[in-house]
Amino acid sequence: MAHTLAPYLEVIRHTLNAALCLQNYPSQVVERQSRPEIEFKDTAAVVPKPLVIARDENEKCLIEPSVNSVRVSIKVRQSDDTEKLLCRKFAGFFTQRAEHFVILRRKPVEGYDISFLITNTHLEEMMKDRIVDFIIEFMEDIDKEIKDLKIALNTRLRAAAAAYMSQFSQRG
Amino acid sequence: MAELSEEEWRAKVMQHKAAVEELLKARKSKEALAEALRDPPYGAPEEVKLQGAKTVLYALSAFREAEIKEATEKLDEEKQNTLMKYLYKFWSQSLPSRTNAQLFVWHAALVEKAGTGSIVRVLYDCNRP
Repeated sequence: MAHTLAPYLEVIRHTLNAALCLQNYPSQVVERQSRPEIEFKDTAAVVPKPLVIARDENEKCLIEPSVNSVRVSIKVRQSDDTEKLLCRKFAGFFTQRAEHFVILRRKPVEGYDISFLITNTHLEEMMKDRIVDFIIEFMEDIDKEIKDLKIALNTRLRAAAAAYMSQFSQRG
Repeated sequence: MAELSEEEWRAKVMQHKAAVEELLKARKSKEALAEALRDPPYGAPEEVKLQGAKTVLYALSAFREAEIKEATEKLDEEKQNTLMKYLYKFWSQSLPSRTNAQLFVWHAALVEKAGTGSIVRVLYDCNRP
């Protein structure tokens, strides 16, 4: 598993490194404002086409660059309903606390589970390598976390079912 | 370059494909890859571009994993950039995971050779294969 995940993350790391070259860009539409071009798409010339990096249909990453902001969206592998539920809860948990994560976008891009929005001010405050590391680590962890949660959930269910059934066997 | 009609583009891509297949049959996979990456159909309609991409993928799949690094070193700078463009195109096509995994190896080798600059050139080049 880790063997196949690593090259995927490595590609994302390189692509992010290339895409995260941001500068301040005053809006061409609204005076005295600077807003993320990738969200508002004010000037078409500074928003190149997005890139997709995919392992397969269920696990991919969308990187949308622009002159002053980059939007990174992740789709996490969900092989069954339990994982789908866990992933939804997990993503919801994060997005409700988005202000603590600074670069997290409150609403994921359609078709993806979690989105990040990195602007030029973030890059001025934080180190680029750290941001890239954070996203890669996040992707590593979320896979692991969901798997662990699923196992924990199943164990708990089994224990609960066993405890529930034991009251009948004692009586009988 | 003069504007080509859809028919002309299609003929060109088919001709390209035939040349690549010829080289692959002669077990010259490196020459086949170089031929596949030469003169990509930038202005062509989407359907024809897909045909062209298939040819490149066909040439790429002829390599074994150990040969990939050597193959990228043989390509000149323009072809490296073109290959990088194609890699990102393939990923957005939802291909099977085996193929994608193979493309990761190509990407790693290409970044090592051509550096991050080639990814930036993919981002900001309007000419998409």
